[in-house]
Amino acid sequence: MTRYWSWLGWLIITSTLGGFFTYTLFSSDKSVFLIGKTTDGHHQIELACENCHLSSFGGTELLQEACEGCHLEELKEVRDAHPKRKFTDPGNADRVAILDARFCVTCHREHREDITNNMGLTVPEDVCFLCHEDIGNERATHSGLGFNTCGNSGCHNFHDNRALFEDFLVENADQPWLKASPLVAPLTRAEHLILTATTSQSQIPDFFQPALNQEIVENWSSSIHANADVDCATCHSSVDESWTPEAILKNCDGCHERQSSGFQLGKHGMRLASGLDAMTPEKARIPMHENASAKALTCSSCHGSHDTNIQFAAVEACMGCHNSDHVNAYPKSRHGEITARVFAGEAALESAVSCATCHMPRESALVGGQSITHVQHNQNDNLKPNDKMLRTVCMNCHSLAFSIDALADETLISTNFNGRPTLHVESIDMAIDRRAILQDRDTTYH
Amino acid sequence: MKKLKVQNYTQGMNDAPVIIVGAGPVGLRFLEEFSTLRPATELKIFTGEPFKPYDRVKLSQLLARDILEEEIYTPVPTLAKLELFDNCPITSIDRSKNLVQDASGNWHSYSKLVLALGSSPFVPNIPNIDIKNVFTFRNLKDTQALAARNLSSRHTLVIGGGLLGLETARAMQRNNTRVTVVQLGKHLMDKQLDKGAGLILQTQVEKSGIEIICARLVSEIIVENNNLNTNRPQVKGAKLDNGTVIECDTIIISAGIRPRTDLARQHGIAIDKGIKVNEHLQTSDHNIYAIGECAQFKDQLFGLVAPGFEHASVVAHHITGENTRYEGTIKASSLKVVGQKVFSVGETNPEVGKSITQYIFNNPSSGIYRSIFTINNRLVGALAIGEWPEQNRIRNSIIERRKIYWWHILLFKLSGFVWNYQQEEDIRTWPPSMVVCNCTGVTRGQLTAAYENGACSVEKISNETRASTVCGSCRPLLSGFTNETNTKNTVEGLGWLKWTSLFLCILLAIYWISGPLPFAETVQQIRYDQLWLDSLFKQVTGFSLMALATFSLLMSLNKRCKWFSLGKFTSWRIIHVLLGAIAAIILLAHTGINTGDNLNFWLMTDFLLILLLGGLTGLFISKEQNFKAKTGKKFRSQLTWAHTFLFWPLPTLLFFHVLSVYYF
Repeated sequence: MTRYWSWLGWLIITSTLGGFFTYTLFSSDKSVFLIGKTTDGHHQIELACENCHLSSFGGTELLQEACEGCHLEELKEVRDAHPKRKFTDPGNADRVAILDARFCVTCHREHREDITNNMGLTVPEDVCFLCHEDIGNERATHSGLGFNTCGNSGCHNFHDNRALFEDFLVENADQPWLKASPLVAPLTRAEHLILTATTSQSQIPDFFQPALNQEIVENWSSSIHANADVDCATCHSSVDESWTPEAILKNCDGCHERQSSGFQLGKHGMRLASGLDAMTPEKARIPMHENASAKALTCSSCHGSHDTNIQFAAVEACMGCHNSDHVNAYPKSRHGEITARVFAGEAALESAVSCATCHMPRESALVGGQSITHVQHNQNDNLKPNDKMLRTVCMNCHSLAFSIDALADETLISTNFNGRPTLHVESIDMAIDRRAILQDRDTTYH
Repeated sequence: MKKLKVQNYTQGMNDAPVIIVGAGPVGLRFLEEFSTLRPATELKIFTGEPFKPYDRVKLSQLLARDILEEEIYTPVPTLAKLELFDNCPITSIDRSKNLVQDASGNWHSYSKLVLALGSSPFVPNIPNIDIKNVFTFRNLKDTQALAARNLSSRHTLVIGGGLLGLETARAMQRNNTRVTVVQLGKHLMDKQLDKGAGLILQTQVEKSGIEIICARLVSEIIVENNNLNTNRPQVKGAKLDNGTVIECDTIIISAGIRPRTDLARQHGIAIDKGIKVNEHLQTSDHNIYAIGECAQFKDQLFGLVAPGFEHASVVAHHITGENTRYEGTIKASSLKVVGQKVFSVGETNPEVGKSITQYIFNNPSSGIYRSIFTINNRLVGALAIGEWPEQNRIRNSIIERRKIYWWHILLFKLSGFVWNYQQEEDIRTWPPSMVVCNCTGVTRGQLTAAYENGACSVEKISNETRASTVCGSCRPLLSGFTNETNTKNTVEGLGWLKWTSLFLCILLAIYWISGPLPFAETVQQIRYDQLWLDSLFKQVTGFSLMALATFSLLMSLNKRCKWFSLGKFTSWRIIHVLLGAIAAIILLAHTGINTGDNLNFWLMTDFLLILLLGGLTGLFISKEQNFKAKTGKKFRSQLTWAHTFLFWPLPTLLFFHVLSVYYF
């Protein structure tokens, strides 16, 4: 009898457990199969498995396709210092044997918190040693430096090395720490329009009359939308629509495609992009205000539905949720004070250094031969490693040397740059030294 | 004339019947055993008494009227080939022709002759010992006479303070008869008990109203010169060796027994104190066996029924051609004497040799007296007055000459228990539903059923129920069941089991302490962590683990399925543990002791727990004999179950682990 019952017991356990796993495998929440904590970069979308695991039993090639789907454009833009082709070239087969950099996952394995270092790196930090073992011989300035310091702030960036290569360092040496007239990038067209907007006389459609709210009408009629003939019916077709975060994003995306796709690439919109419900502060891993924890992130979280207050979007919106030292120190920082003066109308708009100035900077791009300025809505674009900010943000006002030092000083970052850097990164000095040596050598030979 | 059947099994056996002389318990046990082995062989059994076979052991109960006369008769198996001759003693043996002559003058031929003659009471040479109202107490006839005498006796004197003497004394007390026991030895039951126990017993016996006189000899029986009954002089009293005269009207002689050797002596069979037998219990004539009380093996005589049963079994098997040997029996008795439990086994005479050490536990308030005897720290004897739950284990340990250590002795002196004292060793006291054989799941109830159906030896019970056919660790328990005392626990490979299990446990303990192994911090060294990071290595180690797990299941198959019986279970068990140990090592390479999250965590935890429980079970089994059987069995069963139960989810977890690795 015991035997009979034990077989039955085993069968029950097996079928229950098996049923549970099978069900989970085809359900939307597959968290049971997560092998470990997902990195900060992807944790928001860890349950949208098919975003990265494009197909079941896909293998490494399909994973690579998924990585490239989101990150390849960006890598091209920053002129990736170690592009795939450096390794796929048949002449470089030996490099692949050392480090198979054809695949992102060689260095960036996901769900492996136990081996994850800075920047989602899952190989030992001195990985550069594999190919650059001789760097000390090639460059006297580097001899004796540990290979685990290559990636230090202000030194090297495996992918985006635009602000750190030798010519650039030498070129930008010896500048005053602050420019004579520190101005960030010119305003976007939208910003111009907002600033010049007048109260519009557009008609309100009849079917909206019963539901009309005077405040909404006022907000709208003084907004850029009213000025650009974007009336109620452009967005609304009836009064009883439900405006979910997804619906709002979809609605705005109709006109603001570039902004919307930037938003969806960053941490604010990646959940919506992945088909998950919107990001909320409670899902974040960085400090957030508790009272904001349930706020769902979509376009209108920062921009309002009917008014178009860019000042709110630039500072207040951010500070409503974010609660780190860096954020909280902002109002009393130098940057914060300048911005307050600008918002008070005491200084030019281009001199403001708001949250958005650095984290969602205005960028210029050539469109049809014309330079168009737009706001980068991917807050993550220049965030990590922070030396990605040097060219696009810091150097608008500051010298390269000052910026490198400031970004390497973590205390300074947490006080939101309230003061001067207390440490010095020798990148520029090294570049200059090496130039001098090379010139000496040239002189000797000629 | 009957046509004889062809008997194709006999080896050197002619067609004549096997003849048993004596229908006491031992003769009947032989009959039973032999007829089971050879139902086709003709059997003749002769008894000199004018009664159907009866159980001599119960006579004192009958005398005390504790039981009725019908209850003492032993049923004789109804066999077609059996002839019972009662009131028909064998008077003569013609060894040259293999013939015996019965009291009626008929000759019977035999192929083998089994003498189970028993013994007669020893009657000391005392003046007037043969007068009226002097009795012996040995057989049913004596019992009837005593029962009659009991009615008119006012004071009965029992000569002999041994077991039978005391039982007789108790029985004779029945009609408010005054009873006095005169014992020659220094204390009661001096063959089985030491002085301390003897004195305690004496106190108990005296409490029940029996008078005891020790270290005295009856030197003369005083004759009553009664004119009314001139036919035969009768008892008036007894004079002791110190001159004291005890007036009494009845004397019962219970001064020991002497093997019946007359028949053997008269026909040239070698005798000493008993009929001399070799290790097959053959007398000097190899066609004639002697068993029970009439036999003498080496210097040993037998006064109890248990060795006689062993003799019966040995001879029954030997006649059928098996080379069974008798190796002697350690004398053991566990009896109720005058309502008091008395237990005695092995060497209990502290004066026998200088090297013997005696330890005593005495608790007068609870009426418990226990003593153990050791030679070189090995148990050689024990005795007790009162209950001793450990007595079966004590007996087995004495048979196996088990070593005991200072803590055993300390415990014994403090508590009266050599081992743990909580549970009863005797499996007959276990509840019927309790599993005795864990491997086959046979319960105590099933064993009892088999036992009652006639499986009276460990071997038979084992064959019938399959108990103890797998790992064999419960064999000693079965022997407790059947009262066989020479069944040693012969589980093989326990050493291997111990060391592999220990290795496994230590390995797991190291894992526990070390936790996850660190990953390489630099690429400038040997990347040992590639073992549990590199996909190829992981597949190799992972599938190896799967194979090991599957392969180790073969043990379970071997244990549970009759059709899969490749090699011995004990070997499989060692392989099983060895595979576990190898799996633990490969697990290290596969995971680096990282438990992972979610499914992987469950799988890893489950696997580690299975290994741990397996290791502990192995370790426990290798040491199970140090535990009390019931405790050990229970604990082992729990460990095994936990090990098995933990395995249940493993196939599913493993399947989905492998699936998820390739799926994602």
